[in-house]
Formats: sequence, structure tokens, C-alpha cells
Amino acid sequence: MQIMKKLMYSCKDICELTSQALDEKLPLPKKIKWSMHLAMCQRCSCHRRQLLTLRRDILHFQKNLASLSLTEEKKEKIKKCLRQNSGE
Amino acid sequence: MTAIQQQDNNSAEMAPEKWVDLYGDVLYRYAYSRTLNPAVAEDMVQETFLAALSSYTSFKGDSHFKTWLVGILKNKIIDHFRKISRESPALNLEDTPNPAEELFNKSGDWLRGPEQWQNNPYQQAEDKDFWNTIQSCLYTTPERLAHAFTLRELNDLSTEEICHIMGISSSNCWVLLHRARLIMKDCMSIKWFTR
Repeated sequence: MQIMKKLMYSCKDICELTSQALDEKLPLPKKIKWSMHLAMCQRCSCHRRQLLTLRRDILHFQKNLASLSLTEEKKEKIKKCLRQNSGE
Repeated sequence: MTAIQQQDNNSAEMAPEKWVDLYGDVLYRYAYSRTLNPAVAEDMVQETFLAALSSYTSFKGDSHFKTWLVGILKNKIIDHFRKISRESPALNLEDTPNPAEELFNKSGDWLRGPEQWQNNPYQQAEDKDFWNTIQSCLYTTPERLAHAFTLRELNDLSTEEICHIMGISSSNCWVLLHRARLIMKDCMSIKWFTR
């Protein structure tokens, strides 16, 4: 196992590739080594799942924002600005 | 044209003040969840309505009026981050904290973590709690890293777009995003996912 890990990337390297893989496709040779490491390393695969969970939760709460709204005061200020700019 | 689109486009024909009642909150939520700054979000909404007022004749009705407004807002948000980046000092990665130094030993093995997270925490939480937590974590993240994270994860911009906005190379962008994710994940792990 240790020999196998030495043939591939270190966990620190895998962490960098995991971040890169969130933004773009990894080149195939790197992707193969990255995938093999994740299959054998619980910590690195956990780290990847956590980054994906963070991304998932951000998306979830961006779609569920019912508690946020403009104050009435701010709405009135915007309306006043629009009235002034529409020449009323 | 669908009935909903017709109804939506009918609202476009109303007085602009009515736009604020119909779409103000939706635009504010969009802007806040992408800037995490209430004052900036309010300004973005006002600027969006003003831009819509001045360019209303260019709205052809081939998309939902709300979609058109959100499109204007997206550009306003990108302009906001472009302005901030121009006003920031030039990027020096050596001055930017590297959290990997605390997470890994010299051989590149994990020194600590990752901590186990509970499943589906957001199902028991209110959205404002989540955003307060993300906001507090971003405030403790170095500014450039926070910007890169905000542009990528909250605004879903590509790394190429982020490079243009922040005036950085793609390799620098990857480094910023990697470091930002480590810091944000660590912070969110403590304040949200293991609470």
C-alpha cells in the first residue's frame, strides 16, 4: 500500500487536484492517478465529498432565501429614485 | 408565449415603481447571496432598476421580464467585483496564507482532519443561519481568497471569467481557489457542519 501511494501523488497533491477538478476536467493521466488515490485514501475522498457538500449547500440556500427581503424604507427609496429618473 | 410569460411581460408594462414591489425582493436575494453584503446588494438592486428604466426599449419580450432584470443584475455584480479587484493591491501569492502548510506534513500526508460532518444539516436550519455563517467565514478569509471563492462558488463564474475580473493568471486563480476552499471548508466545518 505504501509503495502504491509513493508511486502516485501525495495527499497534499491530491488536494490540489481535487480543487482543480471542481473547476475543469483534469488531463487523463492526472485524472487516472487522482481517481486511484481517492479510491484508496479515505481522508482525501472525505475531503472531496466535503467540498462538494459545501458547494451543494450554497446552491441549496441560494434557491431557498425566503427570509431575506428589502426593507420598506429601501423600497421607497428605490421607487423615489425611479420617479426622479422617469421625469415624474 | 406562455401564460406565465405573458403575465410577466404585462408587469413590464406597469409603472417602474411596480417593478420594485414585484421583483425587488427576488433581485435582492439574488444579489445578497452572491455578494454577502446587504448594502452592496441594495445598491445593486437600485442600479438594476435604473438600468432597466433607461434601457427598457431594448427589452423585446422574448424572455421573461424577471430574467431580463436578473441578467442586468448579474452584470452589475461582475462590475462590482471588477472594481474591487482594480482597487486592490497587486496579487502576491507569497503574502497569501497557505493553509496546506498546517494540514499536511513534509511528505504530503494529512496531519489532521478532515472532521466527520453530520448528514443534511441544511434540512434543519434556516437560510439566514447558513448565510450568516458563510459571511462570517468569508470575513475571516484573506480578501483576495474570499473574492475568488465568492466569484466561483457564489456566482458560478468560470475560472477564465474570474481571471479577467481579478486581473490574474489561470495558475494564480487555481492557487487562490485551492487556498480559499481549504480555509472556508475548515471554518464551515467548525461553525456549521459539526455544530
